[in-house]
Amino acid sequence: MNNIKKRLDDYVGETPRFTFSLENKIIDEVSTLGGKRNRKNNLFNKLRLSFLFVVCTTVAVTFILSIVINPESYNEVNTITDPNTTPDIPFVDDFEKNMTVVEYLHDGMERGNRDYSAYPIVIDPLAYEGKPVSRGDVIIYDDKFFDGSVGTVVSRVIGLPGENIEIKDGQVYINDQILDTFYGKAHVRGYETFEDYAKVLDQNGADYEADVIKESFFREIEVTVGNDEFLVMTDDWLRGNVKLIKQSDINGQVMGYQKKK
Amino acid sequence: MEGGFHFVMDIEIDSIQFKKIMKENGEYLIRLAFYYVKNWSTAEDIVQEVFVTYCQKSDQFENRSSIRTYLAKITVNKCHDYLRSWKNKIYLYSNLLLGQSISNKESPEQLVINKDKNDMLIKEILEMSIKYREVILLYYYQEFTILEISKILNCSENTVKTRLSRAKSILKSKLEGIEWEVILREQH
Repeated sequence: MNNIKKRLDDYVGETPRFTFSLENKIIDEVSTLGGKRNRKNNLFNKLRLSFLFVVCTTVAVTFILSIVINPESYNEVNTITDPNTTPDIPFVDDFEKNMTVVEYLHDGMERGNRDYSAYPIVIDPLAYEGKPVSRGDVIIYDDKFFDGSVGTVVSRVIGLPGENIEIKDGQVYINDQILDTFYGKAHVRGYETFEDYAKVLDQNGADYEADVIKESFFREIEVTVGNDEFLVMTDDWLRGNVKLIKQSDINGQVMGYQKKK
Repeated sequence: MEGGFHFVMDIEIDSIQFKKIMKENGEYLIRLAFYYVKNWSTAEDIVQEVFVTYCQKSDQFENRSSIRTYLAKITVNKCHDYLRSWKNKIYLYSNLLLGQSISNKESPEQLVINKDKNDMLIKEILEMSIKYREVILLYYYQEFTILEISKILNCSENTVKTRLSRAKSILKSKLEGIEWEVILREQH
């Protein structure tokens, strides 16, 4: 023992300074720390924490992957498509005797090219003698106008017998599935959103009723088609109707424009 | 949250270990603290805080250094905190105003004993600034190595060496030449 140490110790004296009462005081204080107290070398604790971490990470990663890989299954909404129908209107080559030609002047099917009214259209009244009515077909039927008169209307088949049709937020749903076709979403005059259409109207300085037009983009319908019925709807949501008609009401299928001679 | 059995076991093992650590380290820590703060009740408070801190952070310890160095480091830090605090400054001023004897908490008997051992060396050590006092205390009193002291004080070994030699030369100049010779001779 060096001299300085000895003299420093002698100065304090031999009586212990770290007394039992102090020791007990410390033990008391430490035990009141209770749960806050960390324990040394607790392997079990560490294992449990890392296990918890692994479980949480796995759950999170699985969840994210399921969304990234297959977003449709997450949304639980499937789509219905119609590969047979296109917006193009053909000129009819094989004109048959029973077909009739109609000059249709209403703009209910307007898609921006004076569709179905630019040229005379060819109707096949017997089209559905040999085949069923399919979704997307353009047909004619007689409708009563607001002034009481009855006239021919060109429209498109949207809903087939027994289907549940819902239209919300400018989208058509068939049995809760998105109708992913050109005629399945809101459309006015070749524009698919109110903003696009309103912009064009504004540019042309048109005077229009914004509320009425907006309403047509956001029409809300929920209906179940009866067993002998079809839901028909014009392509222009502003200028036409949605109607449930019977098969017998269908006067024929529109085959296309009459070919110029 | 706690697996019941593990929890009980841990507490018991820990409290036995903890008592052992207190028994082995309490006495020299309280003496070290006393030479820092020059007051027994403050030294008691500091040692109490040291063990509570040790208990809360014992899982951070992980045998990186010896437990003695670790506890000494906590003690030194607590002492530094105290010496820097307003509490200590008020205490110093009250000493100046009211005189030494009032704030000195020694019992009369203890005072008599200490007067008997009126050691010039101790007086000089206690009067040194903390910067030099602590290296003397840690090197000669606690007998830590230069490396250990550098870890305790968070400074380089060279700083410790410089401070130590400076501290020794201060002591030498304060004490009469003969006494310093005696100290050095007794050391070997």
